[in-house]
Amino acid sequence: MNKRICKTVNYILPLYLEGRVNQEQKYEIERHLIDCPECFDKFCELKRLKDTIRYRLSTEEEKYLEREFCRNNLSAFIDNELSKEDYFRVANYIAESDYAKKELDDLVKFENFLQQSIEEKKEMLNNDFSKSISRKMSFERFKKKIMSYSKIAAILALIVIVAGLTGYFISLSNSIVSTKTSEIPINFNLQNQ
Amino acid sequence: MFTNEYKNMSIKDLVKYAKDDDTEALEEIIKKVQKNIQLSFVCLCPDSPDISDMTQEVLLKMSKNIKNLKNDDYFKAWLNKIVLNTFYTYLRKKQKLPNCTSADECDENSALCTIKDPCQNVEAKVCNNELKETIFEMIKHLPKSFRIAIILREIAGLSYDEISKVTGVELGTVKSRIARSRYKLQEFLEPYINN
Repeated sequence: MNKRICKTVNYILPLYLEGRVNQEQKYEIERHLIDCPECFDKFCELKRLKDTIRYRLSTEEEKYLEREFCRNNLSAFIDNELSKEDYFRVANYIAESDYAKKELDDLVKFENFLQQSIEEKKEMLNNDFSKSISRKMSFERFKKKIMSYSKIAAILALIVIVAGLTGYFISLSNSIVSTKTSEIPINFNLQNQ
Repeated sequence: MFTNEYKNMSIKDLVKYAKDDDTEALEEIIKKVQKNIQLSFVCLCPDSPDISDMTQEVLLKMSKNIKNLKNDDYFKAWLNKIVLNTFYTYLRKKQKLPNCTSADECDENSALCTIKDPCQNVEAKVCNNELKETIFEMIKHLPKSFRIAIILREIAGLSYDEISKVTGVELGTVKSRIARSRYKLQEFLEPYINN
């Protein structure tokens, strides 16, 4: 489902329920509600709340605090970042107050303008680093392979050198032993006969 | 796999392939994220001449460490954490230079209230395109913590929860910073829109 449309429908639903949207908006919302189960569930819940629960505030202080709460959460409301309970509190405030509706309209217009500016600014950034980064990564992988092969080659070379030296010393010690054996005097043998 | 197939893939699938050393998947990820990263640095470090270098630094770090990412769902948040860390490194280097004052304000409330309209001395800009440039000038003049919050939301597209994890601040603080940044920018823009 198109997240952008869901986001728009999310903050316009309370106004739709109060009959405060124009014909075109009404048509778009109804069309979306047919296609989007999530938004439809939200609509049903909001309608149920509107029909069965009325948020009644008795004192002026309570009304003031509620207004402040809703104003401070208007931004999160259009971002769809409120908990269900807080969403309905703010939705109720918007539906019952013309001033809140104006604030919401202004915020939505500003948000759309900001997003448009961001998209246009991004279009102006033409640098494409994908190939250069990809080449650097290939070079890094190549370097790693060379390093690992070099390590293996170094270990093998070390083994060969150690084996060679060991063999040399063994043969050296063997030749020393055979030389000493050949120096034993001939008399010894004659005496034994 | 054909190049067009990569273009139609989600970031999550591309990350999966990139972890298996698929070069084309990595290139496609870079193409999808580089403009967001670059624009984030344009707004975060307006005075820096090294925005391209910083962007490439982030992309290289991302490419080198993508295999260490345990959960592919957190890719966007993880990437923007790298962006923020690179920004903080830039700030630290800048503060070591002589005649540099800190751009950070300790008291957020007074910081936001004392911000003057950066375009006061400029003729009223009524043209729509110039107005769009003006909004970026205004974002650059927000206090650092507000600038970061609004950039992560509007440019990087992170959720409030992700912004909270990336910046290490409470969810309520994130909500408040985004709301107040938007109201402040709206206030700045009002005279230009009315003119």
